[in-house]
Amino acid sequence: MKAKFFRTISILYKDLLCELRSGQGIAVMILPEILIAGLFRISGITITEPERLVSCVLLVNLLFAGILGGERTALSEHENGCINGLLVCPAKSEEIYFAKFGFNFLLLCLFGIIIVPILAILFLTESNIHLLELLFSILLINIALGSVVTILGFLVYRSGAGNSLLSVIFIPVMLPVFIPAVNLITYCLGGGDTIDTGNKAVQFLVCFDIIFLTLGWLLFDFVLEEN
Amino acid sequence: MNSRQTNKNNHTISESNGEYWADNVSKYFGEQPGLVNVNLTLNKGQIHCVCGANAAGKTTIVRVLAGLLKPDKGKITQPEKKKTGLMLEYSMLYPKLSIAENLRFYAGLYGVEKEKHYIDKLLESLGLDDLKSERIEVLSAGMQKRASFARAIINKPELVLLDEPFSGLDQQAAEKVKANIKELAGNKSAVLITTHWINQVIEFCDEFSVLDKGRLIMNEKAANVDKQAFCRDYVFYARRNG
Repeated sequence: MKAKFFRTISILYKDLLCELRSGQGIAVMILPEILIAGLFRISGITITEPERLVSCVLLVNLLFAGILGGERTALSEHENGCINGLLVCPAKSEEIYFAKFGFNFLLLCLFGIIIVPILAILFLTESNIHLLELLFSILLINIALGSVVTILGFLVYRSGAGNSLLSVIFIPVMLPVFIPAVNLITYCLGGGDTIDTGNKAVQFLVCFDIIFLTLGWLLFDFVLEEN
Repeated sequence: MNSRQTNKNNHTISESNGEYWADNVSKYFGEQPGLVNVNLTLNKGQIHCVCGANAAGKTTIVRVLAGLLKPDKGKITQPEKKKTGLMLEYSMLYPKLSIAENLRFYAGLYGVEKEKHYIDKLLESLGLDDLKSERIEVLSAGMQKRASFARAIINKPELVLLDEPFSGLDQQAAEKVKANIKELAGNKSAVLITTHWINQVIEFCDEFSVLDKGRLIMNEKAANVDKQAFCRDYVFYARRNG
């Protein structure tokens, strides 16, 4: 158990170190999202429900950041055939999965930490944010995004399909998360939704996270298998 | 000797701590034959060379024995606790990490990270001790090949599978790699080398096999082979088969 944990952390640390040194991923993820948010702000559209608008923009941003992160995680292992090095050593597929999921999750959290204050400054004039609830909601959403994009990113890469296929299959899988996630974030930002809507959204997201983390854990071995 | 067996469809993968073999192994890529009924035995302390032209199935046999590819038919054995060392045509090293970081990472996964002395000795024996802090992305292809070899044997493997280990290496570097391979065999590892340059390995291999379009057309102990004639015939065969 200790060895498993150590191997998972080793792979995660290695990914973070590589990402930090390349620096491309974070820049590629963050700059376009700031640009999109800025364009929304200066477009002059009348905003009647700023909380709902922010939650929609945040979710779309997280979704695209997830796709980019997922592509990068799979790419980094297939560059120089590194994935074969992992497959012949004692690291089990679930250890690789949880390390990769951890990397995507941390990247999304970092992205969230940067983008949420920017969106709040740009769109929210009155501050009625439930901060703890907001952080908890973003964690739940990031677990959902990270668990799905990790398995799909590797699936797309191992199947030899182009990167564009990831967004084609990722967005439909994430569709059920959209409405509850938007409702939950709107509530956390002090928008019109009631606490009851927020609770239902939390329940849904927890179930989604458990299902997809379990699926990733069980199916990653088949995804890595070469025939 | 076999401690565990998994049987899926028509193939069996079992673990062994003695000799390693492929028994009647076939692998097809669609209609294209990768390996056809191949029988191969790798003995402890022996260096087995598999030669063949391009697309003969050399890489496929390495990938099958390493467990990266599942054969469509036949049986293979692998060492217990994944004590396999594998070197393929690409380096399997992370470009943004240095040689030392890459080796430490893999040593950690194999649980041999505390054997710093062995890692230092390995780097020295391959002439990489001065370059250990350099990132892989700035190294030449030859340096990467040497680092890749160091990665393959970091866990003191019982079964060593080396796909074209000398391609891209200069004479001096090739000699260093050869010395390490001999040392591995001396420490009772079973070594398999694939190459299409028979001259580079003829002197130090214990057994030779030749693959042609996935079929094993020759398998002989070195003692039974007239090396000069074998080299001449193989070069003639390789020219004819591209």
